[in-house]
Amino acid sequence: MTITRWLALRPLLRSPGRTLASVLGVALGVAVFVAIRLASGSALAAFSDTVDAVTGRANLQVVARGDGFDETLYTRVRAVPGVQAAAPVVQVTALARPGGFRPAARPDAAPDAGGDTGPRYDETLLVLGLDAFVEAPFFRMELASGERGERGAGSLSATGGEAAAAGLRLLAEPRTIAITRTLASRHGLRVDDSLTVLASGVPTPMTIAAVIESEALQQAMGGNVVITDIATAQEVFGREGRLDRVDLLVAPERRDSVRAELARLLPPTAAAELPQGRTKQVENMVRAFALNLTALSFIAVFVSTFLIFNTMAMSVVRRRRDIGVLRALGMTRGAVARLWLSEAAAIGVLGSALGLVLGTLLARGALRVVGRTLTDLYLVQQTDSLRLDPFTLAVGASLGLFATLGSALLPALEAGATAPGATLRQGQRIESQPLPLTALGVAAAVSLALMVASALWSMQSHVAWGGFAAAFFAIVGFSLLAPGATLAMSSLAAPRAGRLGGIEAALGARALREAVARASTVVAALTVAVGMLVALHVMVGSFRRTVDTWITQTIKGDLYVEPVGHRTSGSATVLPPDLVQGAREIPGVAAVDTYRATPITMNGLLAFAIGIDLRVQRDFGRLSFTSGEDARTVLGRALEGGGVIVSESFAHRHRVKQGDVIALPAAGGAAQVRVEGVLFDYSTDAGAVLMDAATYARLWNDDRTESLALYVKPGASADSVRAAFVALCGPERLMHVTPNAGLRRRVLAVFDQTFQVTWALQGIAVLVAVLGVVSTLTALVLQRGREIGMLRANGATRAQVRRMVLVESGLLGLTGALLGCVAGVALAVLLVQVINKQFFGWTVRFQLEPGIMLQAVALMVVVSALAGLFPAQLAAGRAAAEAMREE
Amino acid sequence: MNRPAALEFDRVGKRFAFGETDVRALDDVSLAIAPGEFTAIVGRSGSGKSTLLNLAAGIDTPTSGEVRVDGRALSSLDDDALTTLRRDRVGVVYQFFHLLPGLDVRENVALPLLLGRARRADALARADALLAEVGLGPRARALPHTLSGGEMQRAAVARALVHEPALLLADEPTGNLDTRAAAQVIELLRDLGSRHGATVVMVTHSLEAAGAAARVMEMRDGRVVSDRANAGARPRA
Repeated sequence: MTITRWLALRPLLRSPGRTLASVLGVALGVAVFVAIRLASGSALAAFSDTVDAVTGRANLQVVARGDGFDETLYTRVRAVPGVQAAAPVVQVTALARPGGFRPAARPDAAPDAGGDTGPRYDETLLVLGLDAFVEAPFFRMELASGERGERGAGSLSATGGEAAAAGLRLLAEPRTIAITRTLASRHGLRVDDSLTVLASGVPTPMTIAAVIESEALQQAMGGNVVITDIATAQEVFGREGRLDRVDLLVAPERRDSVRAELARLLPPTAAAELPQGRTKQVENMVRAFALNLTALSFIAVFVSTFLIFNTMAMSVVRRRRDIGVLRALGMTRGAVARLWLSEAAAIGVLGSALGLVLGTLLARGALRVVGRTLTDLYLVQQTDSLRLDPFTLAVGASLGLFATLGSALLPALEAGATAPGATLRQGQRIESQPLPLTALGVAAAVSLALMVASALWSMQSHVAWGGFAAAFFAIVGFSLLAPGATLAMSSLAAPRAGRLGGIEAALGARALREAVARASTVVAALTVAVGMLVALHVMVGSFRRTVDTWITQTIKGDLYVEPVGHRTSGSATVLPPDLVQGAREIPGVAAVDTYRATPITMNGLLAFAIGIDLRVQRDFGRLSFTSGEDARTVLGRALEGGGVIVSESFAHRHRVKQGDVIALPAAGGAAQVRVEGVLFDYSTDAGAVLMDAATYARLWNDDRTESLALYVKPGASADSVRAAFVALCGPERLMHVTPNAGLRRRVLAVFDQTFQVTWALQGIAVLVAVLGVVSTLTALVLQRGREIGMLRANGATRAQVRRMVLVESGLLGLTGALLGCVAGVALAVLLVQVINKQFFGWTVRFQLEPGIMLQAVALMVVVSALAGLFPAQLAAGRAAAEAMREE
Repeated sequence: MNRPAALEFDRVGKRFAFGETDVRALDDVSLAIAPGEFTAIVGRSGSGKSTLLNLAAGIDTPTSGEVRVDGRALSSLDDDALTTLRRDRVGVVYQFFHLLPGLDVRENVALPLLLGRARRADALARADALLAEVGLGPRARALPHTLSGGEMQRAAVARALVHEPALLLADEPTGNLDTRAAAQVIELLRDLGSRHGATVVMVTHSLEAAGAAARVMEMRDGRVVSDRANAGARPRA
């Protein structure tokens, strides 16, 4: 241990800068991984906790397949033998704000909760409609009456009598609710205060009658849970006669038999599930998104292994003479190798520890962004409470440690294999052995061949992770090309640099060749970072343009109408029929398309069944189909035969193609429908089945509408139609009435938001690569002390020495960037054509933008040159005499 | 008017701090070397010879006193001016040759001219000429690691002379060579130095090498303890 401390740990302290760069490299890699896993884990855990909290003690549930089921089912379910307790539930997510509702003075000033006018509805509430008479066994209605007129949560403690009185008040008084202590204290709400919820866009003031004591519900959705009487919930949210769930308590040993009996009894609109079922479904849905982010977070770890490899390899080169002495003194090869591994382990432990701390801090930011994306794309409610999952932390720490040890293995073995005699001679060249260029070239070729093979295999067999394997082989393959590229760059650049920038520039270019092993490791790190940067830019750019073209070409409505809160409440939003009819009668309106959707489960996966007016789409819309057929033909067929059209991601997920007949889990039972076309659609990767509103109404016994698209007659003004519609809604209903261009902006904003995390991850990978440039160049400069001293002794000015190092660092950046661009194109093809296709099923039109590559090259040359500033200054500032004294 | 000394040390002291220990490498050294002289400075390891040479080359600065090259006080020059002085007036030969491994021999020799922004073709032609003088003409395109020690040192001598310096400083130029190669290098220093009109100051602990010099100074513990003309030295060409 003493020897290890002397020989492995002390050197780390003697070069604090280099040690810090390595530790930081590992830390950033670990941090990114941990942050992403913690953020997506926390978002899912918050969802799962909410599910648990609102389920109470139920151990089996009857859940709606789609938009609720008939409430008469409740009595039949309760009567099933083995059911000990049953509680009906209406559950709606809705926007709300504290206080009562005051209509805006002018009708058109109100209709936008997200706009600048009118009050903002910032809170997303989970409204639970419960039946107080049957709730006791589920422990959800632990209520306190609170003390009227006193602020704060401290005074809100319950006695048994109070709880009963609070429950009664919910039953007896119309439009009363109970809120959590958390929500009450956040807004300083007290009993008898008001909270206004949006029901289908209608602000509905509710009176706070009690406070929820249940601890679980204080945590669920960050405490944004309100309980109301089931009848109130049905009335306010237009769900009369419908239930979303029946929670059951059954004897554990009889659970399977009860489930079997329920399966026999239940209509297709309902299913018996374990309470974890919904969590599982959501996990499945966001899995692809989370997996892609995790894969991306590995890039930073991968890049940091190059940095560690270089640090350790240079430590071996620098201390080769020490190794010779140690070996001459009797240290075994194994012991020498272990010394270097100990040094790496110290870096790994420090880096991982720092990485966990950084990762936890970053996770808070990531949670906000990831959470927002999950809300936008998958309607999973956002959370701000970060869960420090010990497993993720352990995996992150192990990843840091093993990546460090793994990357130090080769240098450690090289240290061990050093012959004692060889190292004691003076005047060793920097590198002990020439690089095995041929072997590296062959390995690169094999790796790139495996990339192609994995990609083809993934596309043929639909195995999604094949795309990741291909990306891995691409990264490895292009990294292996780095030494060749570095040598080529040195040979090409040296004469030109000499002509352009004098002898110092030529020397800088030649230095790459001299230290090719170290330089090419940095080039490999830069290649990977730039490769991913370019690939993501190309992928996101192609995707964005595809989506933009899709919106512009296919979304033809002039005004899109939805109640404020529609995106939160989903199918619990209903527009009154007279409003829909009124919209049709507005002068200047050519047609009105209606929209109604319900979540369905097919093959265990979530999808959406959507009813729209196919006639309006046929006559006014311009939907685009993968078959290339004209929309009129496809929609005409669907209208005639009562068939459906499916989105591309649905077709991909369920292996469905045009002409197939699929069994839709409709309210009246499985409905056999024919797929008349596969639609380009980028609105959700969950997959959608679209049908005519009449077919939807028949299959789901539901002819209601939740949102509209208005088509304006040629020559008519969309603004006047908008004004007329807003007036029709009146001041008491808050609506988003979005013009076509606004919708396009909104879709693209959600799109850009989705990729925010991606850019953050990418930025960190580039940062790690740049750390590699700084650390490696610094070490190389120190290693070349004598050479620099000689140059100074022979008349090189400080400026010339500085320029020499800057040319070297700039060329490192240029080589990495150029190779990275090539790697980037390959990775972009994999991302667009393989990974994206296999995970999300979207067709993205691949578009290469040379501008991105030029920018990446310029960026990396500048950043690398900047990274070379410190080593350059160090080199220029070193006294020549000192360098020569190092003899 | 008298010509100034090619190299002059006026009560020069140099101290190095090693941790808490203060080491006096040069202690109040005064000397003057006339233009064209071939002087050897001898002494044991640690006697201050190399420090003296580094101060003369302006790559190190004295703690006290003044160093003058061609009558110019080095303390009055900033880093750029010192660099220019080295580039124009001083050539240095080291024990370990210090040829850049990535450059071939003629490029190494041309380096001081190229650093001074000479035209590439001129610099290389001059390097070729000097390499021919030191007997390395045929090895001009070879890389340094393919040369023997003696050849490398001859190349280093050519590099030190390529820009026609007034002062040629050599730090243990034979320390790493066998006897035959050492003799060749000493010959070169003496003859070429003379032919190119350079004042040669050579630090060595080899008495054979010192024997070639016209003047021999001995250093001990940072001081010059003897300074004598070498009667046995062969006159310079």
